[in-house]
Amino acid sequence: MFLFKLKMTAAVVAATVAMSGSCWFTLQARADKPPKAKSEAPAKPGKPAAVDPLSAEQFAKTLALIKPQPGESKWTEIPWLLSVHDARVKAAAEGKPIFIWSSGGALPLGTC
Amino acid sequence: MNRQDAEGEFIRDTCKLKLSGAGGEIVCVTASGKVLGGKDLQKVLEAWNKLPESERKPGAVQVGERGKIDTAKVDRAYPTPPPGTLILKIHARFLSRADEGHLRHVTPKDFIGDDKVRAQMVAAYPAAFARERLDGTLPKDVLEHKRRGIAERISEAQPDFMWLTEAEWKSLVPANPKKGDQFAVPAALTKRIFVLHLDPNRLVGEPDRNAIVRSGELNLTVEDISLTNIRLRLDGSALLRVDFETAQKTGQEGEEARLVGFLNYDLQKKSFTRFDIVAIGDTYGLLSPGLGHLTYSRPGRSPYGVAFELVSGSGGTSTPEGYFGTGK
Repeated sequence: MFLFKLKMTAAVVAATVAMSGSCWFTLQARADKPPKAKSEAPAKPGKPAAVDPLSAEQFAKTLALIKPQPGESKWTEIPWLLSVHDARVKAAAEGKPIFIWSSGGALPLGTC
Repeated sequence: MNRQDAEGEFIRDTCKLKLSGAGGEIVCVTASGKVLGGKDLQKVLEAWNKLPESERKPGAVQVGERGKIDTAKVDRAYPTPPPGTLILKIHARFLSRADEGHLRHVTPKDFIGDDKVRAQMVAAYPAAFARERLDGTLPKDVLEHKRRGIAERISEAQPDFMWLTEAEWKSLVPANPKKGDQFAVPAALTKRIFVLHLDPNRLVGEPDRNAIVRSGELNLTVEDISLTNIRLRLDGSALLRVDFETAQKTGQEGEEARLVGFLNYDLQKKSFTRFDIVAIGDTYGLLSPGLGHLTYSRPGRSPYGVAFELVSGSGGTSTPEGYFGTGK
């Protein structure tokens, strides 16, 4: 693949950073007590979903179906740097250009 | 890029770039700040090769000190998990049902890239498609651009992470377990999994943090206990926003999902050594407005899957490395 032939230094830059990570701070649970057995826990209304239940036998197969397949998402194999300065130092030392992928709230490497 | 520090100054003042926000941007530059191009890497390579040796030779460009960094902003962008955080690597992807009924990966033909699917969607949601000119009035080149977008993006697994604090994951370990014991996953954790990770809008952009959980539960069952290990099975279901019947009448979005998981807790290491969860759901109606919600919406019930796996080494006493890494 051309990208790998070029062997750039890759940096991911957060263009706007206000949103990223906030989910963890705002929604973290306060679950600091050991769980009670179900008989002691309050009953919850659970409406059965229309999709078929997943059996234990189907589990591994389904997990493999969802995860990246061989050769898919090659960008995840790139050792991205999170600092432009670090990328500049590496690029200068190795004589390579810098490939910058920037984004805002939806960071390329995934939100927490 | 609005960072008021050395990183922002390099991008803005040296490179003369204005990187966009949520839409994302790809650009190639030299270590000294010369812009070489964008997505067309062949042209980038040509521009690079035209540069003098003084720009390309290893060690030729001198990069100064790091400069002033807005550490508060960096910390918000790339927060460090507290010691003991358990980290789950998540992959989610749109799926489809094969003629034989089993789930398969999607292709562009499952979406409005296919004329028949687009006709179905235009008939079901005429106003929304007319608003974005996807009802047939869009110029052909723009429509083709959207088709290519579908082809490039839609079939891949989309990555994400979930962090569980030490208190959270310890809340999943029963104090005096007996085989067959059942207990509910704490409500706050359940809601977080449902809202942030079962929302298929996450496959296109951000999840809708205000999505209503109509009903649902997550339960753990003690399947086996030994001197060294507790094996737990997770079962659950979720109904987000509206049910299918309501969605059919109103055009609203909704999701139904089932979850199954297998967790192992090592009593000697006092940490989880397995934390695999799979969710299979159906989404229906139009995805939430935002990045390509029409482009990625499909007629009827449309399956999707979410897989959660433990990031090796997390959930211990130290801060794990690679929490933002992209390893599979």
